[in-house]
Amino acid sequence: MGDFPYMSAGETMTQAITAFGEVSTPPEPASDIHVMSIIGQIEGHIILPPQNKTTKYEHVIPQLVAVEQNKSIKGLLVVLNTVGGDVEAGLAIAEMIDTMSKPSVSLILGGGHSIALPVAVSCKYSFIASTATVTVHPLRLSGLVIGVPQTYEYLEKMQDRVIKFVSEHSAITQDKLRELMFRTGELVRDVGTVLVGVDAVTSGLIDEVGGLSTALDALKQLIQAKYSEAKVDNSVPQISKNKGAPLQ
Amino acid sequence: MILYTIVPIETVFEGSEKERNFVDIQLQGVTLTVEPLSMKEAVIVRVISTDPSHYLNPRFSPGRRLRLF
Repeated sequence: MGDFPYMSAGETMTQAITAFGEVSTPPEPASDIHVMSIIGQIEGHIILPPQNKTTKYEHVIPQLVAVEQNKSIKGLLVVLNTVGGDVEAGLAIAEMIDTMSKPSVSLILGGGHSIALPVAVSCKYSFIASTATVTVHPLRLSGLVIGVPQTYEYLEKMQDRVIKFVSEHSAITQDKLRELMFRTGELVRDVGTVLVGVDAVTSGLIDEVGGLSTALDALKQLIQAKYSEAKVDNSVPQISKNKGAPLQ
Repeated sequence: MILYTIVPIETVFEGSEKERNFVDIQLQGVTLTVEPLSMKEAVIVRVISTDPSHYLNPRFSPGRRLRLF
């Protein structure tokens, strides 16, 4: 924005050059469902090199505020395909989505690893594609690590924050999540578990196996339940289990 | 990251050492990440919006060149 010295006169100064070979889409009525895609690395305090695809804290947080405040927006679909990233940025996004008054539904596609899990469960209802995976593993420290017991205690504390949030927002217990996180023999030369689609549902982390239409249907149901005068509380309505239910 | 492609790894990462410079700008109220090509031109890299209709708007299509006055 302000980084462009020759752009200071504002957005009217920006103009498209090419105006040919282009199909114009007919004007659509504004959608009352907004989409937030969380892709690549979740970026926090440190700007990652440009070859990394990142979801930036400073982009996402104001968008969530805008979605919450805009009266014409009724619900939010959060699409996740991320390898994880900054713990505090991830938890911040999760807390923002959790405390939003509007219905939210998450959909994990491809992969929703590490810190993506709190973001996925922070929505009122969560879906995972049948081929998508969730990797649950212990937190890692980067940078200078001092070899003192306090380092371990600090890591433990950070881990507890994630475990507590996830267990409070999903059907999994803290003990079960801890067991998945520290399991050995599943990951090559590492500690943790990979949950593919239905495994994430049976473990209680994610609500349902689904896709785009099931996620949108669930969101529409949540919106209807919220905005119909019959129901005033903010509880999650039962979403039909026959569509997109885990195939056992 | 796991790649599953017939393209050799050297081709995939070709040019990744090149420094790329991205700038966020506002165009008609929509935040766009653009890559400046010169002092006068930039190419759209990414649309940053939660409104799905912005992604259908050809004005904001990634790859489109913008003239910066």
